[in-house]
Amino acid sequence: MSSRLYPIFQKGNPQMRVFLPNFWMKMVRPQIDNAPKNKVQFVVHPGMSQFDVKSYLEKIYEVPVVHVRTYIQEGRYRRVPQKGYIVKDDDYKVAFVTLPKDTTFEFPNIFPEEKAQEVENEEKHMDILKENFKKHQQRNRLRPDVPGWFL
Amino acid sequence: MFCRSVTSKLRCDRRRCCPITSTSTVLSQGVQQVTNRNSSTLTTPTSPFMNMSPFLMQRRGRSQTRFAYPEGMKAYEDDWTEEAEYPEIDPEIHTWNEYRRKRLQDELDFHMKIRKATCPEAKNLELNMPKQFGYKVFRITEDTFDYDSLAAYKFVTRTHIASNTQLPSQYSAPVLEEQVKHYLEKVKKPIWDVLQFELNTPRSCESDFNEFPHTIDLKKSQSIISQINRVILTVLGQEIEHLKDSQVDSQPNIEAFWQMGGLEPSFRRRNQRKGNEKKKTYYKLKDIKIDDPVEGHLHYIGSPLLQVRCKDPPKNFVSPTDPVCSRSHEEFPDRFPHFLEAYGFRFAENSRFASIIPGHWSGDLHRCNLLAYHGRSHLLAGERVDNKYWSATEENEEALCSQAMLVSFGRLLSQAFYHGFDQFGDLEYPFSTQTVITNGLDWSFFAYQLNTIKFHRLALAKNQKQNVMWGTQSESIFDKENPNELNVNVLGNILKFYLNTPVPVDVENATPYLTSRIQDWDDDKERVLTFFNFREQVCQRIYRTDNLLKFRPPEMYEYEKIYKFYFNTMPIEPRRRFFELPSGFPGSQPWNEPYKLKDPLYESKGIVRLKAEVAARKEKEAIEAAKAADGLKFGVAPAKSGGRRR
Repeated sequence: MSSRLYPIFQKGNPQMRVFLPNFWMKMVRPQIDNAPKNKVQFVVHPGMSQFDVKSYLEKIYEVPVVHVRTYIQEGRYRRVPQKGYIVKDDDYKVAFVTLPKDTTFEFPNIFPEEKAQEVENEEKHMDILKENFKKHQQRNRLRPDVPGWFL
Repeated sequence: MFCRSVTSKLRCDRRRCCPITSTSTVLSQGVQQVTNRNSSTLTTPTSPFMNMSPFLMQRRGRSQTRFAYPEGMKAYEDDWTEEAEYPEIDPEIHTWNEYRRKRLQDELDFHMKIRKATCPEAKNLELNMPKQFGYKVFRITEDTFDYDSLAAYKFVTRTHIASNTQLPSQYSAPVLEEQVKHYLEKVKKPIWDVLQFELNTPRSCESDFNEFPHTIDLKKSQSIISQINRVILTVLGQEIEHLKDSQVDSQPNIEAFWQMGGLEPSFRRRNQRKGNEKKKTYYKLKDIKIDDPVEGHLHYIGSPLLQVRCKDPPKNFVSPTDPVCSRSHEEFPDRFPHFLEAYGFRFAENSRFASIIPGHWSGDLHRCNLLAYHGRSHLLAGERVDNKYWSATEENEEALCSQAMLVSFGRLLSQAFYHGFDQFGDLEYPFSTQTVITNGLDWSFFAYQLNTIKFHRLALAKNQKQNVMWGTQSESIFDKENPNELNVNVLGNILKFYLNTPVPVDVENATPYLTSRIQDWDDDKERVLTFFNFREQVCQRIYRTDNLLKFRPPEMYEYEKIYKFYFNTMPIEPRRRFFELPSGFPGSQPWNEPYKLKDPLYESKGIVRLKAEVAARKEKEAIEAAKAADGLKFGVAPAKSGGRRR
């Protein structure tokens, strides 16, 4: 469950009794709309095998898993803007997990409409403040030497 | 009538292979009517310049060479009809632009070429001609079946499961039942002996640690099945004619290839399509949307443990006009909503030539499948065994169902191909077959009827037919209540499958598109050419020899991919590689070039010269020997021939 290298125990050292995993799993939205409902996709620590993914889900989250398929996706090549040389993103491992037929999973809606409205209102508020500041600047452009608390 | 005659494009003719690039230029016996692959006009090309001399062409002005005839207007009487015959207007194709229609015509020419080939070997050759290195296929075998993958196999073969527990009503006819009762008593004891022997004797492979449980299982089932088959054929074959005259194959090689439309495009393809808007050729690609379905090639490779063949096919279970045979749009939409890779169909990294083999040579008259036995050792292989979800009984039964679908479809497709019906022109009458999937102990029976094989991209949506399958659940051959006796149901089903008499087809000509056999071709050159190339393709020879790298697809190195292909960082470098040639130039896409036929009778100039020298030398020696013999009569000494200088 971990790819750490721990120091060798010598007499007199403190005994390590807690071995924390450094494996992580990141859930990812399926890229097609009509994906089958008992399949989930993760981006995963590249040192994890299929058995590691399965036991991670079963033991920590108690999710029944039928089958796992992993593969390493090559990172994208891109040009660095304004420099022109070519650079490559890191490779990452993708895991496709199948759940039993009865269980279904839907990726949650991270951007519900209420929150979107709140964000919009905040942005509008910011825009109004910026406009007011501009007007203030325009009004006092011929009096640069006057202190701010006087204007 | 003025028609443009299109000149043939350049082709890279290499010296190693013979300079023949298209079968239609060589084969006159193998093809009934020649259609030029390069023709992009919808009408037959006729040139008014055919009878004109070049001197006359130079003399006349530009406008006159176009429209003037030296002998006046000719009436092409073959084209004349009293009433005008307008071609059909397909509402979908009518909206397409000119570029797309040209490509469609090329495809239809390709389909007609396959249909006009006279024997199955030539058809297989023509199928592979457009690709120099073969097709990139989904390779399907019976080794594994993924969890919950029945839906994918259903779509790919378009089978409707009419019943999961019962065979069709043909098998419960009273005549059949009486026959079964009559033969059951004779067959019970020998089969009991067979099972006792096979299941109680130890085998060497069981104690071998290199063998896996699924390989041992296969070997056991192979021996049990061959013994049972032997028993039944000896008992029934004395009285029943179609079994006397049947052929039995042990582990034949069966392969089937078909093109499937309606598949989800990959992300690479979607990104490519997004970039179409910026291209100069956008006008050609306007109609294609990002989510449009895509065509995939599927190849089934498998072998039954035993196959029984007869001259006539078994009777069709259901007439083709029955509502069961017409497609239901809910079950079989125009498009499969998920990726096939999610259901265990792995995309092959290497290419493969399309090979369609029914398990026998093409001249064999016993070309219809009566029966086939398959093993079910995939249930004991791989990750399936330890997984409690994957090895549940329901899931096992579904896997057997999907195996039966796949296997029967592949077998019938190749059988139909050897009757002359290919995927692009549909079947004219349905085919049917029977499969048995066993372990020796657990038996399940399936009956399959094939109504269509037309699934390619252009015809998937218009195809209103579907294939039908009936099957049973798996039952043990030993009775549940009394394990000292055999199960009457299972034995009865086995006998019914054998007693199902084959019936000759109702149609006048069962093979309308096969007009000659390759064994009867007179011309040595054509016959040897087609058979040699057919065999090379089907054996996948270029992928099995390690030294023939020159015959494999060319490789793009990784630095070239990054610094030349994705990003053009070397603009001053000379463009000598194949992918740097302008698009459309021959050699820029070597996998889309036509296959280069190899002439085994070809002799290079050096060998021709050598042979002539050897023949001349032999003639000289014969003349000198004859002269010497004559010279002795007349007293002339023989000339010293050859020898070392002294």
